[in-house]
Amino acid sequence: MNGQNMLAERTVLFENAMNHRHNSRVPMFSNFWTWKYLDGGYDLYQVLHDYDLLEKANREFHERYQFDCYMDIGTRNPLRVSDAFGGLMHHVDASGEALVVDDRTIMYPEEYPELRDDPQEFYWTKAFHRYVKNGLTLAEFSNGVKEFMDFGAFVARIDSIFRFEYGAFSASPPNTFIRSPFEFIFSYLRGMRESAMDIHKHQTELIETMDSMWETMCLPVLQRAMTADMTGSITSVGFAFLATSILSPSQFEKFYWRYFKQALDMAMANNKRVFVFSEEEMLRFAEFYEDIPKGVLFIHPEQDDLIAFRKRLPNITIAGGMPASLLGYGTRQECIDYAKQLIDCLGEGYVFSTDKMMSYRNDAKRENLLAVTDFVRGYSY
Amino acid sequence: MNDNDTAIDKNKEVDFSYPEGFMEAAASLDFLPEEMRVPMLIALSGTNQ
Repeated sequence: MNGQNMLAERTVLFENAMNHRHNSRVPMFSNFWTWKYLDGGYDLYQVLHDYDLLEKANREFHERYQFDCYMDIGTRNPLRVSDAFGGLMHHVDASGEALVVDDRTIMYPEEYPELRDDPQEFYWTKAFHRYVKNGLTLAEFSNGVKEFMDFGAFVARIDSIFRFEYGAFSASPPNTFIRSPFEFIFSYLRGMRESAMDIHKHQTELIETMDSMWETMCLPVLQRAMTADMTGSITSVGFAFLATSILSPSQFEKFYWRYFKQALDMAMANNKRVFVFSEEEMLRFAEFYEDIPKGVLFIHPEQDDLIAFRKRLPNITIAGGMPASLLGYGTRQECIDYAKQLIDCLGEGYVFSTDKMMSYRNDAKRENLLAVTDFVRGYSY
Repeated sequence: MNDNDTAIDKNKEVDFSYPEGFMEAAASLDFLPEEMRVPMLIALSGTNQ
């Protein structure tokens, strides 16, 4: 089947899943990251630094397992770009099999007003300055910008291959993934430990700055997403939830929901859908999502029991659930039995995926993943 | 390089002052059309998602 036909078939599968209608089979969502390079026999450092090899490895992964939708197609780890500026935060560890991101602070708490009032000056003089190595020359800087552009060209190339040659889906269209203000502060500027302290010690400055970041950084992306080409995308706009791990429900309402609700409201007003990739537990915040109409929100949780999730939030389309521990250490039959149970229990409004980001060698055995993907592709529930 | 670009010593360290250092870094991107240099710097340094 050619890419156009696959795209048409997958469009029906995901339309049905989003609207909780019965499907001929459950669509499969790839939550596979660096595991695919280890599975393919590649050296992690080498493949992440060679775009032709990266394309080859991602093509092989798709052709071997035939997922319907991808979180990552080789665009997650632009190591050549970060290396060009000094490589201070991202590196392949000594084992050669894991990518490490340091929890680093490139902004101090007294600088919130600077970020709020003049982000361009703040990023240049503070955050970006601290992100790069000491003594960066203009020649090295120019080279880093060229790497940044080369990476952008690779993203466009691989996206086109997956979308049009393979007819494979992404969760949301290119360039419509939003890091909400607290997420950006938590993951990029202040780090986990410092962000957790800011919630208590710098609450006013934090909220004032996040309000400004939402207006200047996030809203333009959200507005663009409302008119983006939806070909090969399940939703119109995506969010990653990681920083919610350190928030109580009341803190979630104060620091996170105030922005995310705007995105949901805008999506609903425009008849669009929203995707959330959550690396943390979502059911703690279930009360916020219980009144959202079916067909609007698609959540990929990693830390929740999906059966409990479905009971508590039957209005949400969900993906995930297949344990990496089973794919890594179980037998083929145990894996198939578990996949069947998931599909039989969750059925309509469910998209098959794993319960964690698949990054390490022991997250899955090839024989198990092949057995499970073959089974899910052929199983009429 | 465009005809009206002035020569910049690429071996000197990046000046992270603002706006002088910012504009000098933008001007050093002589492989880009002039109108793309500042937007590229903004995208790269973090203000653009």
